[in-house]
Amino acid sequence: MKSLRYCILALIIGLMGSCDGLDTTPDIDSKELRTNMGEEIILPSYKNFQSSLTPLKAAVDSFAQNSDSEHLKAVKTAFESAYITWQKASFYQFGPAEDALLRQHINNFPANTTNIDDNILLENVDLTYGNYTSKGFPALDYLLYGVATDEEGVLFYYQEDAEREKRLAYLQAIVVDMQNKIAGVINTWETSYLAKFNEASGTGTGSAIGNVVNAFVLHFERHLRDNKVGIPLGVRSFGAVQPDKAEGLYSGLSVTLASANIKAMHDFYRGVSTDNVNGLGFDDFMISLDQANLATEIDAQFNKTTNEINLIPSPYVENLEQGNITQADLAYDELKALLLLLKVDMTNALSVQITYQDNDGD
Amino acid sequence: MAKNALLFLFLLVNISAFSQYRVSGSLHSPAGDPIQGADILFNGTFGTSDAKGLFVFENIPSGQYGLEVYTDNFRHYSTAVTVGQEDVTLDITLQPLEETLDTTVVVVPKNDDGFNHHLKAVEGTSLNAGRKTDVVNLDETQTNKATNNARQTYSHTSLNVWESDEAGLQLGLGGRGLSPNRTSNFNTRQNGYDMSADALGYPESYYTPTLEGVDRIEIIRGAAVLQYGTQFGGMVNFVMKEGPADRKAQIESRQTVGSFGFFNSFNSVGGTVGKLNYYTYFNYKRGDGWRENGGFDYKSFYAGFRHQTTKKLKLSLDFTHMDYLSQQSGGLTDQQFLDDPRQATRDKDFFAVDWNLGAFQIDYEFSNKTKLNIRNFGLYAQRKAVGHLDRDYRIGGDNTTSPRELLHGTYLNFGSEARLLHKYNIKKESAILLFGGRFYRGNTDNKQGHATQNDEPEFEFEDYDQWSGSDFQNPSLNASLFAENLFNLSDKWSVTPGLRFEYIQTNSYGYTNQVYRHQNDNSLISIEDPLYDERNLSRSLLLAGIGISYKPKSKREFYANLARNYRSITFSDLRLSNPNVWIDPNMTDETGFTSDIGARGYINKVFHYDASLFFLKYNDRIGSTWAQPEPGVSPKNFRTNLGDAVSMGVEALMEMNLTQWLAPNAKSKFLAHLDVAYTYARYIHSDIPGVEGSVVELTPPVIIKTGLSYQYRKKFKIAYQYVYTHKHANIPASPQELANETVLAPYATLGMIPTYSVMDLSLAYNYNEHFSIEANCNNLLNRAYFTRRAEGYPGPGIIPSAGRAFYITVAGKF
Repeated sequence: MKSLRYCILALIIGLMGSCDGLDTTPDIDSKELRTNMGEEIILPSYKNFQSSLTPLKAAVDSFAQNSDSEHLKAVKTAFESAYITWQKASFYQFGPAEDALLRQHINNFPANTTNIDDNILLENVDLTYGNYTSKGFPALDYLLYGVATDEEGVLFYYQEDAEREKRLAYLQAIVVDMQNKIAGVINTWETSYLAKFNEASGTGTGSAIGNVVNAFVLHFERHLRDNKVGIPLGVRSFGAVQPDKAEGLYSGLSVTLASANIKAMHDFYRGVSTDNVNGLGFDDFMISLDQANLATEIDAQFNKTTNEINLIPSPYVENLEQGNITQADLAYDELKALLLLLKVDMTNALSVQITYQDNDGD
Repeated sequence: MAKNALLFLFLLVNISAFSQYRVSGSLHSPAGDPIQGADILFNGTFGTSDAKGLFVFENIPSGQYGLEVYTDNFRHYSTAVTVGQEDVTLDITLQPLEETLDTTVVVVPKNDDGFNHHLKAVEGTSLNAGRKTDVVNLDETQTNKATNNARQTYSHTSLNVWESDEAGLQLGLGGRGLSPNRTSNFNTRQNGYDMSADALGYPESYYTPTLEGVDRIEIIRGAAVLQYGTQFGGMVNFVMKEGPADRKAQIESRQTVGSFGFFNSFNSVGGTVGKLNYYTYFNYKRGDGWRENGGFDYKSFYAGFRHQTTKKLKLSLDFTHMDYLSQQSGGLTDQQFLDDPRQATRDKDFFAVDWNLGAFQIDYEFSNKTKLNIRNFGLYAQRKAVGHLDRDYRIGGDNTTSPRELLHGTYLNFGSEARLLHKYNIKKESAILLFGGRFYRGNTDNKQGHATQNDEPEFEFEDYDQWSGSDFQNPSLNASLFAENLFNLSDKWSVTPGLRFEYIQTNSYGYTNQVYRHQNDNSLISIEDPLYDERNLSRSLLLAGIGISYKPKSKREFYANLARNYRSITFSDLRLSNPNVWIDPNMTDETGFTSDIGARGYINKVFHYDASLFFLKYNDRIGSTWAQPEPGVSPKNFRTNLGDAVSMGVEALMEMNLTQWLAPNAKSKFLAHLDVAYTYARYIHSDIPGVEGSVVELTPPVIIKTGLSYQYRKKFKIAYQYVYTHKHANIPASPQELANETVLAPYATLGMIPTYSVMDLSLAYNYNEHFSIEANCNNLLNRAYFTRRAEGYPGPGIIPSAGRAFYITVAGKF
């Protein structure tokens, strides 16, 4: 009898030992996490974006046939919708998107209006390579809102002027190029990359989670914190505002786009799919690694930051020019705090190594 | 009286100027080997013996003369010569000076057995006893000289060779876990003087002597330290050819054409005129490159003069100029390499080098026991690289978002070394003392910034102040004193202890522009005042070493050596051109030691072996990792001392002359060789997490080189060679990761270098003594492989090695 008790005791101790501390792999199978991310969020986000370009293309084609106010409005509506949809697919620049430099082709702002004007005058300009500062959404932003001071002027630009054919052709060329680029990335994901992604286990460099976290944090740091909010605010220019560097410079969509972007990043963090189903995300992964406090803290900080961004008076550009920067300052501070949580605390918790080079600056 | 008068008249008649004769002879050792280059004093003039040991004095009137012979390693010889009514021929055997002084292993004539050779214990003013040495004799080695092919040239040595360009424009030699990058772990010399950019501060060998003009390459491993430099790898010395002793002018011309637009023209003239020996060549090379956008254009010129001013004094003057321009194809990712290794990822990147090297040497022989050598050298050189450094560049992409940058380095240095060798006796045994000093002053100017934005090989800055950039001066100073003494304990044992005192000063001062530009379009955001920075490091150290040699029989030797090594922080370590890399301000120099123990020998003319064990300890090895500068701030690429590492293994060379074994008198030679290097290298201690216990980077665990060559008389030769290098990584990785090939890294700049093997074939046919033709095939099986991943130029990424290429050379000698 005594020996049986000892056996049971040993068994219990043995079980405890094997569950606790010896094994550093997380409890939730990170394969489930990868699958949720890849199949339920990333790829569908790309497809949603691709779909949003279809009405845009259609609207631009109709506008080319019939360059009136109604059709221009239709283009603008489709443009806004596609631009916002892109904010939900913009922070996955790894793998196929990185090879194709997707962000550079879709949304490289600020646009170079001189280059755009020059390109339009060229016969048969080919936007397939380069031209990052004269294509994509920033170029459309300029061409639909910025070529004149009011809507009448914009219409005139496409109706009466001698170069109207070339201008309309350029609009179409931009949208066609975006469609080609996203189609290429989706194709690579579907034919080969998704399989590799599902198999690239662990959180080390080169793993699926490693790649995702790096792309996610890089986008948050450079494109959301700096490019959308910080640089126009003047954080890199000793407080001198740089409104001409903002996203959505001419359309006034700056705050809308930033809001959509951070919401999408928060959703991804929580593992929320494009169908709004809360699946496995980084928060769950961290909870399984006994980092529930950190997970909650990040979640809370995301909420706080989102609120502050939503409160930035729109249009961002005009308010910067007028010196109404208080709210933007608050939002920038929250973004800084959230970045530290993501780039230092979250990566440590997940054992992911940040491998992109950052710029100097807090 | 009358008899005397008659005798006198008789003699007068005979001494008459109308009867002149020739006095000639041959010199050889007791073994029958001809002695070349001996000084023969006859009738008030000096002559020399040629490669066959022959000498000639013309127009000698009848009479009585004295003849004296002086040469290294043999006793002074004198004899009386009577010239009567006819020519006189002498057959002279010289006695070796001291049996034990000439502690060489080999007495077999150089170019006869086809084997690799080693340095003698005493060569000129160098002591090499007890060291592991190799001498690559270019006439014997079957190598594609037109392409400076390092893989073939060093096939009998256990070195790890990097191949990043198919014309051998840059040399990459490593081994024992030392990085082959531009042979920076070796002290590289030409004719005994330094040829790298800055011997300590920036020891990168951008210049490699044209192999067609090289006579031999002397390699001393690890413990070269005490006489040459403190490098862990050792020393590589390229000894250039000299003009033939028996001709006033010999012209040699070699023209090569090869695959991918390769053309090489090598033209030399050399000879001896009176006391002056000269040799000069001009070499032109060009090619389109195996990869797209990989063309190159290369020129080099060399002139060497040797003047035997007096019997004791020899003056030498060398001048070398080399310049080349090459286009860079860029680095590939793993997927790109699998898809098409010949593709280019850069179309506007160029690299240009301009090298001017001059040297003046004085060799003075006080007696046959005491020799002095003073060498003075200077370098003025430039290295320019223009192109795209960042990963996001795509061909066809625009320069607005990814502009060209220029790295411009200028090197100006002077140095002087003096060495005194003195032979003396201790009781009955002989000893040799080597004492010397070195002074070296260098300045490297590194400027980096925004370049012109076209696709031309233009190396100009544009809008320098408007962009990130930097300009740093790196003056360096090096002074040292060294002494080694070879003690013969008996006629079999010798021990050579040595000491070196070294003073090294490495400095860096300059400015970094602080310009902030928008990531997406590089539009200007803000400019701050340039940041000035200055770092000064000076240290003095004492290094010691010892070599031991035991020769149970002649032609067989056991050797062992141990020496401390030192690698001072280079300019690249002090300040990388990448502002995103954080340098540890407390970074220290690397220290350590190397040791070898081995045996080498020749068995008849059939077999040659050199097998050794080595052990290298490398403390505070410098490398890159990721670390947080401060709490709360994100981690950065951090360059620091990673930890202590050991490297140990076996290096073994075996060569066999099969015809000598089977049919000793055959006029043909069938040689086989096998060289194996096995290396085990680990980090044994590190404060950086994850490094301790990992395999040291750039350490192929196994390298096998083997080959067969068949030579029929002096007419025809065919040689085949196979090189195998086992997979390894260029970052520290665990043995598990290497075995499973799961070494993952953020980008293609770091990661696995897969196992590769390459075969080469070459044929040579000597039509007559003037003309010959050679055909080479590099990479016979057209294997796709790579030997390196680069973090900066010429990448970033994988640098593929060249595929199969054919070459034909037509050579003439007059």
